[in-house]
Amino acid sequence: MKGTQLGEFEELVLLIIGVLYPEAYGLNIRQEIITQTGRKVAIGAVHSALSRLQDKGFVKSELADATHERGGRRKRLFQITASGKRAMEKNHELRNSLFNQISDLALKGLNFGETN
Amino acid sequence: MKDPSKKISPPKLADQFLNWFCKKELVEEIEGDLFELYKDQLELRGWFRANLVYWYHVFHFLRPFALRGKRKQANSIIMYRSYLKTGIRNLKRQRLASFINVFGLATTIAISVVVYVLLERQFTLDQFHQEADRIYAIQSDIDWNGRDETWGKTPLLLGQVLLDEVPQIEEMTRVKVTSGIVRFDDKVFNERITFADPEYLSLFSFPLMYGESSALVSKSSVIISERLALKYFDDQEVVGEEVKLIIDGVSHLFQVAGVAHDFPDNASFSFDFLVNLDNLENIYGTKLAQWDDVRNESVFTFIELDGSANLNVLESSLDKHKAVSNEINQDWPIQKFRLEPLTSLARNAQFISEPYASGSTPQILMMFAIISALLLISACFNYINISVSMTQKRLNEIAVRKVVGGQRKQLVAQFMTENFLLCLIATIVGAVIGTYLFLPGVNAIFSGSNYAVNLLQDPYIMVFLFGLFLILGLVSGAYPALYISAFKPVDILKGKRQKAGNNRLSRFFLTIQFFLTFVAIVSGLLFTSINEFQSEKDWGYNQENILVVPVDNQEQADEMLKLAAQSPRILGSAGSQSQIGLSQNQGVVKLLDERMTVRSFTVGAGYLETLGVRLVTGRTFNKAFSTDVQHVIVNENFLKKSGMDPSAIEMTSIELDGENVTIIGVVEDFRFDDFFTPMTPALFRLNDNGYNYISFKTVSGGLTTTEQVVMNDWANLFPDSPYNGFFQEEVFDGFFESTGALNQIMQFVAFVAIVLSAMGLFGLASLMVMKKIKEYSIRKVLGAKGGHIVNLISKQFLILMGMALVLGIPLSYFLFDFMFEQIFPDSLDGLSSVPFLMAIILLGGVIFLTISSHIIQLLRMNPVKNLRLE
Repeated sequence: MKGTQLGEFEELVLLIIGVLYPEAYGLNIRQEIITQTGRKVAIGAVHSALSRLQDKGFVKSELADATHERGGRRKRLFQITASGKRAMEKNHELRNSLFNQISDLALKGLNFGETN
Repeated sequence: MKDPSKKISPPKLADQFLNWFCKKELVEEIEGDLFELYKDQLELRGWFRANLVYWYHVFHFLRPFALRGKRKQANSIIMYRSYLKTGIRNLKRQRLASFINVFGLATTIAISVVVYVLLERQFTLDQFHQEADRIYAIQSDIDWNGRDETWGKTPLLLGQVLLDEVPQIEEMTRVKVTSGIVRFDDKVFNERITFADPEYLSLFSFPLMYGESSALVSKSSVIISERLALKYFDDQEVVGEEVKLIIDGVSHLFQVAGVAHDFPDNASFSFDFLVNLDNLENIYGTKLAQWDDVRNESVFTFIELDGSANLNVLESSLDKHKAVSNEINQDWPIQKFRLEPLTSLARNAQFISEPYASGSTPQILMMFAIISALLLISACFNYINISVSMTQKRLNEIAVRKVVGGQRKQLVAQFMTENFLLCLIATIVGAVIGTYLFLPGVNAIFSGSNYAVNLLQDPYIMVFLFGLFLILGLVSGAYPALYISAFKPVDILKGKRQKAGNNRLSRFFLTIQFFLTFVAIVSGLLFTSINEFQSEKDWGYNQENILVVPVDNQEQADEMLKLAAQSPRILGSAGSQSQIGLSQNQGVVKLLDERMTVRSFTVGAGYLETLGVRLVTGRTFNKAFSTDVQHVIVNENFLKKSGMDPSAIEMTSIELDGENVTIIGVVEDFRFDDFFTPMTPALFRLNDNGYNYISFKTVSGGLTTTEQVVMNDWANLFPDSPYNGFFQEEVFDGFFESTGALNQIMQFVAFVAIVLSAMGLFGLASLMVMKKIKEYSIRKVLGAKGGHIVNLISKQFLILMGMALVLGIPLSYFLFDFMFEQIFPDSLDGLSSVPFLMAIILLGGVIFLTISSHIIQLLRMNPVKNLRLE
């Protein structure tokens, strides 16, 4: 089962939920993705990712109070769960450890004694 | 910033759509997010874009996670795969029918794409200005001799007074457009000169390529367009160069302080030579600090408001300024100052006299939209016709599917899948044809237009196409799918399926199509005849062999007249201040207690003779009579409108603009406007000073050689002035060009309509023949003659055509008769019957040609083969 894996976009959304805590909801997550990464994403894509994250148990959510701003509709605020945090840490560690294993040579290439 | 009076309401239909497909528990949060997004977009880009964005995002929620209903089982997905496969096979098997369907739909979709782009341009005109939704143009509603008119201009001082008085006005600019001669080295041309307050460049978003926009504060600076920079300097980086502006013979030196970027395609106004408004004082002697006549010293006034301004309050506070202005100008009192948003200025330009923005005509665009919708419907009919008839071949497949347990729902799903597949192909093909073939075509027809769309990057066109695809798929697919799936399998397998009825709808559709085609052909032919009509029509004076040279001063006029006297090719010459078809004054004639607006042409002696204006009674102007400056010559329409007695007209005294003048002659009506405009009263006055134009009457065929001589002389005599001569017959060229463009489009539409109905007919005929092939074979075996079979087949289609004509001839006659009366108010003769006859012949010919291939096939075949097959 790939159920507990964290996709690239899902991870991005998860991170941004953390950044925006405790005010993370669909639209400002999208806004944050656009400003931070310059990617153009539709609001539908964000909601889709959020629903997947919730199915996998990485985030939990609750409805906030209705505001005039949204024409009287409530917004759903998201928050990272413990397993979400673990999944993020696992990804982060994996990435760091793999990055650290890359030799200098592979990164810089052969420079024949030139220093830069 | 928030304005509670403005209610924010996203498109309702989109909301309903969302509610329909989306899971209940998700709707609230999604709607909330979309609502917030909508609000932002509304502020940023206006309602049109905001609505489109809203739709775009609603469609983006068509994802599995949000969809309502039970989780789809894997089984149904497999079934869809099977539907798709069968669909593709079917399309491949029925190549001809598929081609007709795809081609027909794609062509009409391509036309829709063009119409969409044209409409989109219309709705986004001037929206690129960053503060577009806060900029307003002040308009003056005027009592124009008892008729309400809206003028685009206001008194010169109004803007300045408002700026001091109303705190909500953030910025203000006044604009006046004149023309003048611009000279650099030996390059001398007439150019459009824009005088504006320095805020012009901060109010409007016309970024500069080189230079600083703040330089406009200096009176000796000029900002020029990229076009002008290239024209005079062959270069764009020309800041610091000096150019001469020559107005009324006096030259003024300006230093280029900036070059503007090429203007966006959706700019309805722009500038070429932009200088500080204060220059009006030293160039024209305008008194900038006085309330003056609204007619003579008026400017366009634009203001930018901050968010807190209430338009109604502001408009009513403007009222107090009209009194000052009306005191000076009592003839056309201002009723009200009105604020027109910049975003709708171009669209409403047609209702404003002398607007700053040049708008196009939405009526023509609406006509295109209707035409493209009709063509789409026509293509849908084709599709429905063909797919219903095509089921004839698939009856067994349907029956077997049902017998082995296929439900009706699944059959509908199968046919709808096939149908959507076909529509998808058509949409893609159509979008590509529209963008890469039709749009460049439109650009070629309307010179100077630059319509384009980026299919892959413009989300709005994608939403539009997707919507079109859905609608087409549903409209064209629903009937065949429901109809076919309702067949009873037992009946089919027993071969008992009733034949009656199934063609009635097809026939009805085909009749409608013939009808639409007929109307399209007639309109194409009628529009073609407009141009002929115009050129054959009597213009009321002699347009041919007249060369007109505009002059700036007395010296030029004298030299030109001297030249005319020397040249043997020039039969006559005359000077004038006005020129027929080009420029004239407005005058007001007082009759008893009524006032009448007239066109007043100020001309020199001999002008009427040179231009060949035809005298009815009385005499023309004579230099020898010094009192002739008090005399006028009127046109026949003047007599008609004023109700004067034609026999006793001579030496009647009338009051013109407060002055008593005497009528000495009457001339036939002559065309100073195109034929779209009704004839109005006009009169000639004599003034042998201050000529603006010199007209030469040349020997027949001597126009070009004469112009060459005049041009050479001009270049030697007046190196500081451009030669702007033209032929009198060219005066309405612009008008002919626009009707010509309309012409080409109508002809194209007629052509597409013909092709579409021919294709529909071809498809239907081949299926009808196929179905009855045994009948025909038996008839042949039993000795039927070829003519008999021709009769049998063509009769049914000719009946349909007859019905279409019975419907089409009277309807289109009344429609076009009404339209032409609107377009050409002065033509008394009704429509000619020629286009109708030609359209009947054309339609009949197309029908006959289309079915003749089937007939030939039938006649040649060996009947035994068809009968033996079983």
